Amino acid sequence: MKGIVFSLLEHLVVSEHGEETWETLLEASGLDGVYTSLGSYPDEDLFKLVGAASEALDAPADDVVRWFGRGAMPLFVERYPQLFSEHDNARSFVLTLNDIIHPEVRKLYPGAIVPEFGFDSSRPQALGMDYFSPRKMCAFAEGLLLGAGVHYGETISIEQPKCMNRGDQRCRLEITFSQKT
Amino acid sequence: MPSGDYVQPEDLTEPSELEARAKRLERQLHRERSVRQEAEAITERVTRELYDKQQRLVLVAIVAKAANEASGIEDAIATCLEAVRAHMSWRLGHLWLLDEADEMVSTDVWAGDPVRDAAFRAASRGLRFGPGIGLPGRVLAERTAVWMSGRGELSRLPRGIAVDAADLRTALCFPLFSGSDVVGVLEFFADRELKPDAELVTLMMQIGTHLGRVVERQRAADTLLHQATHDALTGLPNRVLILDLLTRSLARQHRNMDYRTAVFFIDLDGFKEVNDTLGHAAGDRVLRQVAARLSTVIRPQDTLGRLSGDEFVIVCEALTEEHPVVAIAERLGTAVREPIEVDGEQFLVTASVGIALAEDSDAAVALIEQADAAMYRAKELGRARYEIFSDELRERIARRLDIERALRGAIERGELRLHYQPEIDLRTGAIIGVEALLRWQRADALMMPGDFIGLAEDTGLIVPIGRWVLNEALRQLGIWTADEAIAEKPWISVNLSVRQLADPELMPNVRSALADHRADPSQLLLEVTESVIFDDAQAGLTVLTALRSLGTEIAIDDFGTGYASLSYLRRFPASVVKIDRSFIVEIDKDPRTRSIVEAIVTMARALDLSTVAEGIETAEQLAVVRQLGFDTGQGFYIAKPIPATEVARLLRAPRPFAGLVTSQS
Repeated sequence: MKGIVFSLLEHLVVSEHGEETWETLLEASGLDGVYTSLGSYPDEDLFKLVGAASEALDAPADDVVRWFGRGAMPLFVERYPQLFSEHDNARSFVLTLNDIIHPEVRKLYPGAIVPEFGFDSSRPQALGMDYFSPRKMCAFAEGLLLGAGVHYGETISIEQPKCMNRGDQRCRLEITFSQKT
Repeated sequence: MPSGDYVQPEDLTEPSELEARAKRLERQLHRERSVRQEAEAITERVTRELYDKQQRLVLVAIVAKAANEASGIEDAIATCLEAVRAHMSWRLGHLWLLDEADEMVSTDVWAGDPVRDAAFRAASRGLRFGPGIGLPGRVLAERTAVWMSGRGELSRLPRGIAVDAADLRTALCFPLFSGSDVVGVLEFFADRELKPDAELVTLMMQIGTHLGRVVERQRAADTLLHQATHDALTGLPNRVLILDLLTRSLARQHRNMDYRTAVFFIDLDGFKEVNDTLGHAAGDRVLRQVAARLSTVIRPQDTLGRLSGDEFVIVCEALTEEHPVVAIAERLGTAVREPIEVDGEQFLVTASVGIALAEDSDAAVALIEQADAAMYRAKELGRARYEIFSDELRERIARRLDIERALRGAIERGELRLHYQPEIDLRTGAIIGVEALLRWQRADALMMPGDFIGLAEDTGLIVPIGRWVLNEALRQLGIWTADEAIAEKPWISVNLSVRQLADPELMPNVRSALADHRADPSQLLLEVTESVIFDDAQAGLTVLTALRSLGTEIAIDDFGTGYASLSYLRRFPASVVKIDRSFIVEIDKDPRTRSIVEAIVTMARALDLSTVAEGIETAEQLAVVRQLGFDTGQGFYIAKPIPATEVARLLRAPRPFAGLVTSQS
């Protein structure tokens, strides 16, 4: 897992719940918390942190990951504004994941494992999105999608008829974009 | 222990103080985190820039490699087009090339998804833009990259509707340079709206220079191919291309029995004279005019080519009857016959045409040879006409080949003979010389030089034959020299052809022949015609001067028939002039001929040349040549060419022809 993910999580926890909470999560996970966006760290670290948060909040781990994804979006906007400014709606932005955004990720982190997406863009106000990643973090993708909706002032609803966590080969997200109000 | 002596921990844990300290630590933590994030951000930026730079280097390397290795322009550019498109993550790329009309022409070289872009590709097919028109035209006119974004601007392009339909939002178009010339254009389209990227444009201009080299190289290769298959003077296909076309045409004929292929071989009559009188530059202009005329009379499916000099060839394909062959031949003749004007002077040129119709089994080279043979026959039959290659002609050629084969072995088989014709002193009747004349005893037939010398000249056999003649004549001279019964030793004259004079071995051969037979060089009279100095005067004179330096004598044979100017005659290192028999035949009948001959004799005497009258056949002719003061006479009336033994008999007798000269005087 790339350090940027830990960095974002730290940033999000600290800004929403304070320094203490981040320290508490680290302590509970038995981690030293030395992360920089330039390094790579065990996937296990992230899962431990999510597990600790899940326990502390008494909420399902997927909800924590979804919260993280949604909260991370504004941080992406802050760091990489040009990736967002070329689009005026969430659907158009999401469609650039494979061609623009993940190639950008690889520029910074050669060898990064990014999820593969497949898109069905046949319907104008909706998207069918296949997700495949050995990390099975479709909830993170969901959160990010919701965050993108917030950024573009849209309401996004997501259904997931297939999920790797439920034994499917890949996850299928059916995304519906609302008209802007 | 008094407590006031020590600072207790409690003293430092005043709530307000602890709070202040915690706040300071928090600020410190926040600052440290910000510093870390700042450092991370800087590193990210540098990493990304490094990555981009590296990718650009990789892209330039890919382009340079493709440019250097590609066999064809389209391969190289297709590779680069895709590399550039993928690098930019744009949707499609397309190549335009400049044509002869200085317009950008849409090619079939594309990058991107062919299915998704099918409609846009179709809309671009067959388009051509002049300077300033459309994206490629703008790049051609402005000679720099054009960046265009926004649907509004793009939809105003000539292909605006197709651009709109394909939902293209950004276009980048840049030139391919060959030197300072724009030779092509690459255009790329993205389906996102992108702001101009100066670095990207710089990179593309760099790539444009690389790929321009590919275009340039291809153009050079095309030119080379064209040069290799076309004649530089007339721009017509040359022998290489004609043979290729003919081979294909014959293959088609083989598949379709109704079709026939015909080859016309055209040779201009009298072209050499044009070249000689006006010079080669004028000759070239005549050839260009003839080429232009010939190309107007052939059918669109026929091909006109130039083989060499004034030899043209026409390949007629898919003839279904013979009639057009005759019609074409007549049109060719008429077209060439029209006067040609060069440098304000009019020239009449005619053409001799040979035609060969392909049989099923004919090969291209053989067919051209047949047409050539038919043309040769047309020349023989009086020029300015056409002949169709026939079985009869085939037999003539076969006969010729037969003779050639036989002649090649004639020396080894001892079939060559020399006969000798006496040349007599017209005052005393003594034999002062004999001319060696070649005979070929072929089976039962004794063949005369006219039957085979032309062939020997054409095939180069004249060189070994000439060497044999020289040796045989000198051997015979040695026998007569040693013959004590012969008081007056005659000279022996031997004919040398132009072809022999051009043989670099001639001088060593003459020298060793003289040495081998211990011959007195002054007894050897080498006869050459005026034509020796006709083709290349300086070379001819050089060889003759060298021969003269060996001590041999030189005679000008057949004098009066050639074109030698008097100024050359002055420099001709000859000691004898033999007046051509065509004058002698008329000399006693035509006063004008007599006057000409008289003038020649006077001139020869003034130049200190000895004169010989050839071909004396009657007593009257002999009388006139004696009157005119010729030194020497030769001809059937005096003596026919006879074998050496008979000559020896005559030589032993003193003044065997005294009766002829005394009875006449």
